[in-house]
Amino acid sequence: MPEAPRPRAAVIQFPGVNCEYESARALAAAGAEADILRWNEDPARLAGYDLFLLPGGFSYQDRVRAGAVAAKEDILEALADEAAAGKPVLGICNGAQVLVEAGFVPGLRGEDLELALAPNRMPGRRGYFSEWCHLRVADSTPSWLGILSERVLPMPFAHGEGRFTSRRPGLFEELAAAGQVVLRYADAEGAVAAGWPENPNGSELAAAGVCNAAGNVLAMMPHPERAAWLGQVPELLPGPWGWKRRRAFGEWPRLKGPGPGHALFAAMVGAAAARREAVDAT
Amino acid sequence: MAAVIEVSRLSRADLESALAEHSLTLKPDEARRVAELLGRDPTLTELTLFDTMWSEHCSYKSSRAHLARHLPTEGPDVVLGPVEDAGIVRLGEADGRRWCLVMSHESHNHPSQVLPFEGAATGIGGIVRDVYCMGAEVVGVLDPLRFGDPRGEHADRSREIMAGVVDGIWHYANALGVPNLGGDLVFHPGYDDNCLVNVVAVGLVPEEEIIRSRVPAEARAEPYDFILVGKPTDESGFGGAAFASVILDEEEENRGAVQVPDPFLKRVLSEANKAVLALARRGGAAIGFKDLGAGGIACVSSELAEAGGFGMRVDLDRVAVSDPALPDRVIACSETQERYGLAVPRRLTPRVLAIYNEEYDLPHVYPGACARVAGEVTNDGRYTLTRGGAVLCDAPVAVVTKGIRYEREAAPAARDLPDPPPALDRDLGADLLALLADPNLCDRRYLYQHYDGEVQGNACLRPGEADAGVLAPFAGSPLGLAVTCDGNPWYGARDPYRGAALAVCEAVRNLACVGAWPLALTDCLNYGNPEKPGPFGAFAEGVRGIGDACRGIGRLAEDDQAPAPRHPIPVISGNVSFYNESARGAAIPPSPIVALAGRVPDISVVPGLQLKAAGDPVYLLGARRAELGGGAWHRVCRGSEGGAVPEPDFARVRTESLAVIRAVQAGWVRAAHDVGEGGLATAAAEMLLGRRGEPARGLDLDATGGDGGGGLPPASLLFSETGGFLVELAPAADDAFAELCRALGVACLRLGAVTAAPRLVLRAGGAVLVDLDAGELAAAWQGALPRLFPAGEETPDGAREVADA
Amino acid sequence: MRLELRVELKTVDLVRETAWLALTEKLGWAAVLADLRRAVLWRFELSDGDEATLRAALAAELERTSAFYNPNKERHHLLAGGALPEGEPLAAADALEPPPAPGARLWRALVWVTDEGGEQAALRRRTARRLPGLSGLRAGTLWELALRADTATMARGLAAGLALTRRRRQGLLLNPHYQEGRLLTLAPGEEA
Repeated sequence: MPEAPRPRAAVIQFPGVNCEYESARALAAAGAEADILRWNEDPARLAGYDLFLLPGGFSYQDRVRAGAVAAKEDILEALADEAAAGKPVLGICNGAQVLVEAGFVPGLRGEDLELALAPNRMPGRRGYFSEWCHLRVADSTPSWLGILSERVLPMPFAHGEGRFTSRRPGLFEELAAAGQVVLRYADAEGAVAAGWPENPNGSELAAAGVCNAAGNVLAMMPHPERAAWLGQVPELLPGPWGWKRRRAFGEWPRLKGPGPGHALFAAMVGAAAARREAVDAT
Repeated sequence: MAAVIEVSRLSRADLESALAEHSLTLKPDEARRVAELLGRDPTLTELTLFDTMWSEHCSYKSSRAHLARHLPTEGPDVVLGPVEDAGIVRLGEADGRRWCLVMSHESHNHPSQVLPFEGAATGIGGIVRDVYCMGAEVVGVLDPLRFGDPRGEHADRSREIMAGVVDGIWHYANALGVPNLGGDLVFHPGYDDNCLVNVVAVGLVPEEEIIRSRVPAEARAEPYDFILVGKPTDESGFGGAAFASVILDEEEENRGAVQVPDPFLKRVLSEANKAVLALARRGGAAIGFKDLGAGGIACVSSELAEAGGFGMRVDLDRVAVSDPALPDRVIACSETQERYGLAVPRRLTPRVLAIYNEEYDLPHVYPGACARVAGEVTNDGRYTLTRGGAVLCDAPVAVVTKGIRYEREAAPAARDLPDPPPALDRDLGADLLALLADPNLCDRRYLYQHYDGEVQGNACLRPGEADAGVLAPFAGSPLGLAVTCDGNPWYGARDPYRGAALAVCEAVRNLACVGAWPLALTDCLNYGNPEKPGPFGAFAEGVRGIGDACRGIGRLAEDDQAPAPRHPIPVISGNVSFYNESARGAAIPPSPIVALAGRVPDISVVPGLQLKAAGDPVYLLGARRAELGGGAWHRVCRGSEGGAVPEPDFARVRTESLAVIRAVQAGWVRAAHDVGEGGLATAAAEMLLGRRGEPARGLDLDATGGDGGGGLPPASLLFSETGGFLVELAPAADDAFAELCRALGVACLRLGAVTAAPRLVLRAGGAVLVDLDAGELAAAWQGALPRLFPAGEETPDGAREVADA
Repeated sequence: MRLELRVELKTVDLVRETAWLALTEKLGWAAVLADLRRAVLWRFELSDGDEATLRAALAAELERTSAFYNPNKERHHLLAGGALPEGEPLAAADALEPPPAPGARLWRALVWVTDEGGEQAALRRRTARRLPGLSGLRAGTLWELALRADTATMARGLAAGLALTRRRRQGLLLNPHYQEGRLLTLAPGEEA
C-alpha cells in the first residue's frame, strides 16, 4: 500500500518574524512537508495546504501593539476561510498575538476581539522576559492537543506581551470550562502555577495557550520549536525532561531525538492528516 | 568640477576656521595632504570623504603599526584575516558541507553614552551587517558591557545608561532573531563618563558560499552595476566616524551623529539578501557585497572598487534620499543605517531589484526604502562621484582608500601598588557573601532574561550555564561552536600588558571548560586619547599582551597538542576605540576586550558549570599563588586595588587547558568552571548555584596544598585570582584523569566531592574556613543585580514593583 | 492639579508610519483620515503646591533624568495645568466605520491611549523625592487624528471607530481588553 502523502504545512512569514525556519524544521520532523510563505504572496495559495503555522518574532516590529498590524493583512482573510474549514492553525508567540488581535481565538462571536495579550506583569522587572517554563495540557479539550491531555511539557518562552487577559468578566472561567484554555503554566510536577515566576507574565488562570471553540486554532506564547529536540533541553531543567537530557549525556543520536515540543507538532500534523483523510473519503 | 576649498592657498588659521566651519575634524596639515594626493584643491565632498576615511575609527592611523607588529593573523584554519569587516576561519564539516565561522567585533561606546537605547541597538545592527555581508547567517551575538559605578557619585546616570543599553540590545537583537550567546557586565567608576558597549557577532557560511566585500574579477569580462539597497539616505549619522574619534564634551553636542536603527527593516532586508545571494548562486554569478557603515556611500563604493582592483562611477542623483535638499556631501557620507552596497552583473540587475522592491516590498516596509542602481563599475581605476552633472569627487580609487598613519608617543603605564596590610581573623564566609553580592560578581540571570538566547533553536549551553556559550547549529552532526569574551579593567588599570594577556588566558580557559578547541580571536581595544602618551602607552602594551598570549598559548587542535605551541591563536578581526575620555580628562581604565571562538567536536559531552551528582570528586588545576592585586577580594573586602596582579603563565594555560579539553571530550567531566575573579571560593560557590533552579547539591572541599606547598595564608588560598580550573568528574574517570594530567605535566589536586547536603564547606590546614548554607549564598548572589535596574529597585518597605506598562 | 508633558520624536516616527499605512491602505481610512501624528503624553497628578513651583521642580527633574524624555532624540512641551481636559472614554457603541464619502469639515481629535493599571508607580516614587505632592503618574500614547466629517458627533464616532479594535478589520490603535482610549479634545481644524 502506498504511503499517505505528508500533510502540507504553510509557515506564514510576516515581515519581521524570525522563528520561521526552526518552526518549519520542527514541523518537518513531525511528518509534515513545510513551506515558508511570504505575507504578500497570493492568498489563494493557502487552499493547497493542510495546516498553518504563524511563527514567533516581531511582525511589523510590534509597532502600535504586538500582532496588531499583521492582523490586518489580506492573507488573514484567506487564513480565516481555511480555519473555518477545520484545518489546524497554530500561532506561536508573535503568531499567537496575531491570532488574538485578528479574533481567531477564542472566536466566541465570530471574529470579535475578545482577548488581549497584554504586557507582562512581573514583580521587580518589566519588558521582555525569557526563560524555560512547564506547561500542563488541559484535561479535556476540543484542541488537537487533546491526545496529550494532562501531560507536562517544558519549553522556553520569550516575550514582553504574553499576559492573556480580557475585559469580559468570567471569560477565562468559561473558556476553561469549555477546554479552550489548552495550556497552562505549571511547575515541573504539573501543578498549575499559583504565581510568579511559574506563571511568568501574570496571565489569567495561568493561561499559556488558548484555542477556538472548534479546537483547530491554537494561540500559544511559549516556543515548542525551541524544545523540539532533546538536546535543546537545559541539562539542569527540573523534572523528567531534565533527567532524560542528563541521561543522554554523550549520546548524540538521543540528543537529536524528540524533545518535549515534538509531541505538540506531531499532534498537529496528525490532526491535519486525519482531517484530510476524512475529507478525501467523502 | 564642483567648487573647491582652496586649502593650498589659505593661511593655517584661515584653513583651521574653514575646516571648523564645515564641522570637519581634519587637521590643517591633513587637509593639505589631501590636496597633495589629489594634485589640486579638494571639493567639500572630497574633504568630507577624507575626513571620514582618515578618522581614527576608519583609518586606524594611530594603532595600525602596533597591530601589525604584535598581532598574529595567520594560521592553518584562517580563511580571511582582518582585512574586511569580519574574519573567517574553518570550523569543520557537517551536513556534507565545509563550514566556516565568521566573526566580527565592534564598539558603540560614544553613541551609547549619549543615547543608550539607540546607541546600543545600532551597535548590534552594524555588527550583524558585517557578518551578513560575507554571505553568512548570523548565529549569535555577545555583548561585553562596561558601566560606571552603580553606587558611586553618578549612580543614577550610570544606572539609566545601563537600563537604556540593555533595552536597546534586547529590542534590536531579539527582533532581529539573533540569539544572545553571552557577554559580560562590569561596573567601574572609570566608566562613569564613558560606558563601553562592545558587540561580537558570529556567523556560519559554507566555504564555497563566502561573499567578499569587493567587486569580483568577473567584472573584467562583463558590465557590473553598483546597487544601493535599504533605507533612503538621510542626514542621520553624518559625521559618525569622526564622532567616534573625538572626546565627549557636552554629551548633547554630537547628537547628529547618532543613527536611528530599525531591526524590522533589517530583518526583512536579511531575508531579501538571502534570496539575492541564492539568485546569484543559481545564475553562476559572482557578486560583491558590503554593508554601509562609517563614511556611507562614498566609503562603501570606493572600498568595493579598490578591493577588487576596479574603478567606480556613482551618480548621487540616482540615490534614494529622504529629502532632495540634502547637501551633496551628506548624501555621499552620511551613516544612515540599514543599507548595503552590491556589485552585481548587469544581466541580473532587474531581477535583483525585483526581489527587493516587489517580492519583499521594501517601499512598504519602510517609507522610501528601495533598491536602486546608483552607479557602475569601471576599469579605469578612478573613483568618480557626480550629482546634477557636477563632479564632486574624481580621484584614483587607491588615493581615496589609502588612509594615513601616525607614530604616536607611548609612555609605560604599569603601576606598582603594595598589598594592603595583612588581615588576620577575618570571617572568610562573610567575605565570600560580600563578594557574591558585589555588582561585579553577582548572578547575571536578571540581565540574560532580557535577551532571547533560544531563537534559531540551536542553543546548547546558554549564557550563565557555562563559561562559554555553546551552539549546536547542525541537524546532522554533533559539531558545535563555543564563544566567550573577557576583559578585566582592574588588571588593565594596574598593568595594561598583563590585563590584556590575562583576557586571552581567561578566554582560552573558558573554552576549555566546554571542551572547545580555540579557533580564532577578535578584540576590541578600548582606550583613552591616543594623542596622550599615557593612554597610548597603555594601548601599545595591551596589543603586545594580546599578541604574546596568542603566541604563548598557541593554537590547540586535534593536530596541535604538543606542549610547545606550533601556531599562534590567530586574531582575525577587531576594532580600536580611542578617545574614551571625558572632557574632564578622565580616561577609562585600559580595556582590551577579547572574544574567542572555538570548535566543539561533539556537543553531546559538553558540560555546564553547575554541579551534577553527589559523590563526584572535584579537582583543582592550577596551584594558587599570592596574586590578589586588582582582585575582587582586595577591592570588595579590603578596599584596596593593591597587590600583585596575576602573572600570565602561557605555558600553564596551554597544558591545563589541554588537559581539560581532552577530559571533556573523553566524556569524563560533569561540570567545569575556570578559577579567576574572586578566586577558588567564588568559583566553587558559582558551581553550586548555577543558572537554573535552586541549589540542590553542596560542596565540601579541602584546599590544603592548593598552593602547591607555597604556604599561602587561608584568605589567599580562597581568593587569589591565579588562573585555574575546578572540575567535577564522573567517579569512574578519576584514575584516567589523573594519568592524563601526569602525562601533560599538569598538577591536579583532588579537593573533595560534591555533597547531597546543600552547603558550601571550604577547609584548609585542618580548619573550616567557610561553612555556609546554599540558600544563603543564593540570596546574596541572586539579589544584587535586579536592585540596580529601575523596575527592580526596592521600595522603602522592601516590596518590589509590579510593572504594568 | 495636573501638569502634562508632551514628548515627540525629532526623527521619523516609524510607529506612526506603520499605523498610517495600516489605516489608509489596509483598513480603508484613506479618504477620511487626513493626517496622523503621535506623541507620548505624561500626566503628573499633584495633590498640593503652587503651579509655578511645581513646574520649576518638574523642569529640573526633566533636566536631570532621561526617564521622561531624551533631548538627543525627542522634543518636549510642558503644558500648563489644565491645558488638556480630563477627556472621556471612547466607546465601542459610538464607533463608526469610514463612510463612502468623507465629510465636508476637518476635525482634530486627540486620543490618549493608556494601559490598564498603567500608573507608573516605580517612576512616581523616584520622581516624588524631587517633586513634592506627586500623587499619580501615567503615560500613554497620544494620537492626533485629522478627520473629515460633517459633524462633531460623526467625527467622534470616526475617532472611536479608528482607534478601538473591535474586529479583525475594525479599529487599530488600542485593544480595549487591556487599554483605555480617552478622547481629550475634539475641535474643528484647519486644512494643513
